Amino acid sequence: MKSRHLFAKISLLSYVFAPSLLPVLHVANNDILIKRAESLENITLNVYNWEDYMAIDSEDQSVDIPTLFHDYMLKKGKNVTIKYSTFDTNETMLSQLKIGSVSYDLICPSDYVIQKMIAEDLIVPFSDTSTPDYEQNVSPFIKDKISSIKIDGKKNIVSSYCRPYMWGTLGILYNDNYSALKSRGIDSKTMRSDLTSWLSLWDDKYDNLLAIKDSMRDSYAVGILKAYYEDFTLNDVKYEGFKTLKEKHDAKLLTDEEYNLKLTNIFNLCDDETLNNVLNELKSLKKHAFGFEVDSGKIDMAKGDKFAINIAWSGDAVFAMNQADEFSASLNNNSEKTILKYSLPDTGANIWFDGWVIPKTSQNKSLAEEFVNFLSLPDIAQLNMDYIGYTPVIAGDDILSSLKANYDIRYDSEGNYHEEYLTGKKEVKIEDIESLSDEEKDNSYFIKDVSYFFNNTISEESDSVFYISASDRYRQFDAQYPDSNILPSLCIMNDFGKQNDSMLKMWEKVKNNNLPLWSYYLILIVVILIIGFIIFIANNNHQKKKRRKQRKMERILKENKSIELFKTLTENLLPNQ
Amino acid sequence: MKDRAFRKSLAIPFALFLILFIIIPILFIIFYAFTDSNGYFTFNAFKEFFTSTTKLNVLLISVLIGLFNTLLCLLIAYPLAYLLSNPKINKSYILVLLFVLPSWINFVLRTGALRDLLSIILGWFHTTTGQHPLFCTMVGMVLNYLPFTILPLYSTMLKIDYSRIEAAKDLGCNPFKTFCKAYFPQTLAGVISASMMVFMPTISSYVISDTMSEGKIMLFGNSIYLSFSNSDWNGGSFMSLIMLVIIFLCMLLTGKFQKESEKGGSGSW
Repeated sequence: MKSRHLFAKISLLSYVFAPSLLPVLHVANNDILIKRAESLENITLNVYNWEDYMAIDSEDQSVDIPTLFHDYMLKKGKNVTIKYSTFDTNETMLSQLKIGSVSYDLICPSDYVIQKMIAEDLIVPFSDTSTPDYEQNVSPFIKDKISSIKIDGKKNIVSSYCRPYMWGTLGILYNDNYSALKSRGIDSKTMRSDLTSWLSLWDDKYDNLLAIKDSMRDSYAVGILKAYYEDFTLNDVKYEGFKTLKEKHDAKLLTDEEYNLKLTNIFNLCDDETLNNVLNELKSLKKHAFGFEVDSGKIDMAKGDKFAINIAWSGDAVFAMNQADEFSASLNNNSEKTILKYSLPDTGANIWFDGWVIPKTSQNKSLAEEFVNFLSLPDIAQLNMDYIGYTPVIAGDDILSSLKANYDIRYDSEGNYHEEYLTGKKEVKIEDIESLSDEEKDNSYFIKDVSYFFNNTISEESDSVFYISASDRYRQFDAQYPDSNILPSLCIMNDFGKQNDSMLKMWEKVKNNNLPLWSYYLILIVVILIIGFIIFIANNNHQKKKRRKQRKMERILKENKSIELFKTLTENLLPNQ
Repeated sequence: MKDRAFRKSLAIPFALFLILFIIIPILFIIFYAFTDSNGYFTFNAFKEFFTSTTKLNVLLISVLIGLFNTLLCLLIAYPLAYLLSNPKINKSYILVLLFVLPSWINFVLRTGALRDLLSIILGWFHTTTGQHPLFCTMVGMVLNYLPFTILPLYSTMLKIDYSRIEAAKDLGCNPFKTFCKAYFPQTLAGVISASMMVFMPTISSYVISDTMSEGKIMLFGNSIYLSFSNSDWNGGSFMSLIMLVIIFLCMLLTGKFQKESEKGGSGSW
């Protein structure tokens, strides 16, 4: 507290002596506001976020969120400065928070860490009516997903402690134009149909073409989807004659919620037996894989020279697609172009989100809530989305029109509607797209409705139906907003709680390289030989020394003897003289 | 007396540095290694390490790779350093500089570039870096640690007393025997310090193995990092302590060796 007062005094002083030090103030044109602000106490909001996870641009203040928030708050009569710091992993963030050298007002961890923080009593819930714009603009789909997370059997806990920020899925990013595919006789159609299932990652024909995530939780998600895929098909009785849960769901005997609940339960198994099953699956996946990666994968995919398949978060997938398009733009030859696509298997996949939480140590809870509310304004969310590439949880007209300008073929890049853009193009059904040739794809479109996401947040005259070019199927838009028929199979992965240690041990075993058995014997023999050799040498030296000593002694004895002889001789001789 | 006190006070910054950045961190490591997450004294981390076959296996593999890397580096660097230090063959310092120059570039960058280069080269043979993790790791390790091997060897070889070699030749030694009895013993100190410069960093290195093997080979450094990044501070600290013990043992061993070689060097001639 003391230091904060001091800081406030210093900043007040600086206002008196050098008002021009704060260029921010010049942005707000209203002189009265500026004058009022000068007399206000400067409040600092400590925001702790992932790297590259917010529009921060010191050069262009029109896209710099801290500046925009400062101006926004000035109008409300508060002078707020955002102190923005970043972390690279959830674990770094947690340890920083626990050390407690800086008290943060707002943090943006991942879903499972939020659960952990609730369990460890590190954060406080949001006040009920503190974020009206969030309540108004958040997508109903996300809201439902998050309130369905159970902690100790109770719903709605997570949703009271956090306000989601960005969301996405974990799927398969692939490059069906990869050079090594042709020699293996895999064309883009077979690849597409293969990769609608997680099982294909274990298929021999994709040996060494696949990079997996070097992260315990994400790889576990992939492993459990494979381990239990088998279990489903074998267990006839369990699902009343249907081979898999999915078939039962498809036959409309399970509602979406029931289906999702069952899948989520399986997805979150982490008892020792499951761990062991997943360990075996991941070990065999490691043998098939090109390697592990966390961050380098998206660039390698975009360059298209190392591997053809990558497990990727949807945001990274969009980033890689954009990069690949940029790289390929200069190429004329079609066969060299890298065109990346994203597949989300419909037998179950991981959906994740990152959300804002307020730690207990926060000094400015109401201001933190205000900032979260500000981030939930549609225009701010849209600016953020354009800047960082991830999908915000915010729906609403601004996001919708920005998406339409980017992806809908009826709109130009300014977002204006043109009926004539549709002439000469024909509509195709989603399931027929793969049978089209490349040229036909360019001249046809499919219709995709993402109302599940935009429901209740957009004005009546706009609709959430998109006309998308068939050649853009499985690309950026599909990665950001999955098809509505996949939604019931998307599961949130909870915190593992007490099983975390066993999970870590499992992951260590996956990463560990076991040598063949004979090599252990070889090492043992070599070590014994070396020790034996050393003992032999030491013994030898000892013996040598001993012998040397002996010889010396003998020599001395001999010398002594000769001296004695000499003495006796002389003694005997002397008297004679 | 006054002068002496002043001279003693010159050591204060160094002592401060020593305490702040070396002794206190080591104490922290020891503290974390023998406590649990609540700060109570326990041997848990100790037990866990010595009962976990995975961790012991990682340590064994790291030691093996460390030894292998040391051997490779010495085999390559020894003849190189010989050529560079021989005034008849190499007359300028620039050649030496050329070999040491790469170590001035950030090694993460160097390793990343090497990974791309290797993937191109392996592409000519229709394989990928992911298929040969051990080979790629060894290439990365050797290229990274070669400058650190060349320099100590080079500097000891510069100081070599050539009269001894001439003497050995005059007394009828063949070239091989001359090398074994007259040349090599004089460079032994350099060989030992070069080995130390390579062996220990190899075991604890984690960027090189991670990048070059595409994450497929886990060394002891990676294992420690994994523990820390998953908030297992106690286990990670204990493994760091094991590293410290290994370093200490190696230093003891080399100290003994160096003494012996000095003794042998002066005694036998």
